[in-house]
Amino acid sequence: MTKSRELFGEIINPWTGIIRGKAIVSSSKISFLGDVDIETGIIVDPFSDIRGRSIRNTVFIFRGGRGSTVGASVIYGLAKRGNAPLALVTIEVDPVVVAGAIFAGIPMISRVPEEIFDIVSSGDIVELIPENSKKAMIRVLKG
Amino acid sequence: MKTSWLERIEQLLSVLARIWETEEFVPVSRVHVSGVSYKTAGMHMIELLEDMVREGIRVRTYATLNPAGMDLELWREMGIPEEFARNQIRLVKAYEKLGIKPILTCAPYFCGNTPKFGEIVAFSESSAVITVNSLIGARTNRHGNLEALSAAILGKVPKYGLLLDENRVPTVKIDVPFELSSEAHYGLLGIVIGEKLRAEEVPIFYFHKPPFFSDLRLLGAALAASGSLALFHVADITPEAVRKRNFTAESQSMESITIDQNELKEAKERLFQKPEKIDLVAIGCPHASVKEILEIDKRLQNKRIKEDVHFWIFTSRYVKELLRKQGVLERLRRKNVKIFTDTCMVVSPIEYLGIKGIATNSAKAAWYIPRFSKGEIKVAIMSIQEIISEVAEVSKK
Repeated sequence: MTKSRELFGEIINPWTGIIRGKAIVSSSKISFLGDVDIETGIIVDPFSDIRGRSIRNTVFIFRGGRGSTVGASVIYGLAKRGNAPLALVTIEVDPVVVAGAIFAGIPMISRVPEEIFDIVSSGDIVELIPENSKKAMIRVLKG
Repeated sequence: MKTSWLERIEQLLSVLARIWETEEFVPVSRVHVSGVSYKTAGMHMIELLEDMVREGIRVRTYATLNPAGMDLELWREMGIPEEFARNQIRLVKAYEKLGIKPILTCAPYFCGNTPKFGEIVAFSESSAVITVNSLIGARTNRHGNLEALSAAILGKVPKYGLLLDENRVPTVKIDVPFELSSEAHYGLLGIVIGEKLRAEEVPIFYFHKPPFFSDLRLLGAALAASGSLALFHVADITPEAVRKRNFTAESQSMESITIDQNELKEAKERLFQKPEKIDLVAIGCPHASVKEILEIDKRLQNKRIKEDVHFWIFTSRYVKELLRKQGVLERLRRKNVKIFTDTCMVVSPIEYLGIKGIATNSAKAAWYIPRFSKGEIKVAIMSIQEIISEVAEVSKK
């Protein structure tokens, strides 16, 4: 049986159409410099709750950014190597992640309510649907 | 990726304005860009910048570069591998092609990129941000490297944060009722206060004795390192404090913190481990001024650095050239003191030299090096006077 839940976020980097993909969810803040292997898209931070999982071609849902501002160029490097997520979904808006998403051309929404961590788990299929130029809906489709 | 770089950069600045809840933009007259060391910026930054260059992007504002990961000329003496050097040179070239001046210093205010009081700029090196805000009274927020680069390309920044009068008023008074015994203690004080305060706070210091400009640079760099602070004032000393009569009217109900001598001693013991042997002395974080280097020269009169210690001073090419003309460079070389430019101990890959113990007078350097070396390098924080008495010997004539 399929049940769906809906949440909303603010569009940071817009896209057209519906994005559908597998969610990877981390309730912590990410430093793209150091926490992610640019050659594979795998999370290598030993303290991460998603250590060893790949963010490649996923809808990557995480709290926000931390650490070095060079992190933005790591997001760009991931995209150049085809290892970037399909979309970034965050609770907090962090300028470093914003710069990375915009420069790399990765759709991004932010200021998503905290309860997303109760609703979505890694492996769930989610859809990101633009409502207007500012707001997008996150629909959770559980298997 | 179908959108042009200019569109993406415009998009970034408009989203940043939204984040900071403003619709207003102001022109910037100067920019300073960090993210130049290949050690931290890596291949992905080269790719990004070269993609911009290919599309013909150029900065429209006077902009300068922060230190790289090595001395661009003397990198072999620093033990830097060929491949690192090749990539580092390529990274600096990419920035240059965008029109940014490769002065490669974290103290751009000593070499041409010197803002005036009240001038709105966009700087992205934390120590330069806090120095120009606090000691010059220019106005900049703490920018990430790509934010600063974007500001240089578009010549504007969103008007928010420390560009506004109301956010520059002190929020907390710091009383230091004793004489700080050396320049290193100003850095320690910065680390301690940085740990206590939130990044948005603006301390106003009351010192027992007027500090030197060089002491305040070490204080600021440490406040920025441990607390991400971007502005401080010193009563009766710094330009805004003087003009605003120490903000006495605005700060009636301000919280006050009194520092006691033991607190600094305790912080020194808690945060920094003195190595068994000092392999490297690293001075110049932030990059040393002419005056600071002349003082070291004076202290080394009739002395030289012991053979088994590296004594390195980091500064800009501009300062090095001034010293060369005065004959100081040659005199220091004979005393085993090396002057490196274009880089600093925090961003250069010193791990290649097999160094285990460092002494520095900079609390910022002492704060970052153990973190970047994953604890393999121990760093002592000492004054230049203490360092010299430990690593210098009387020179044989």
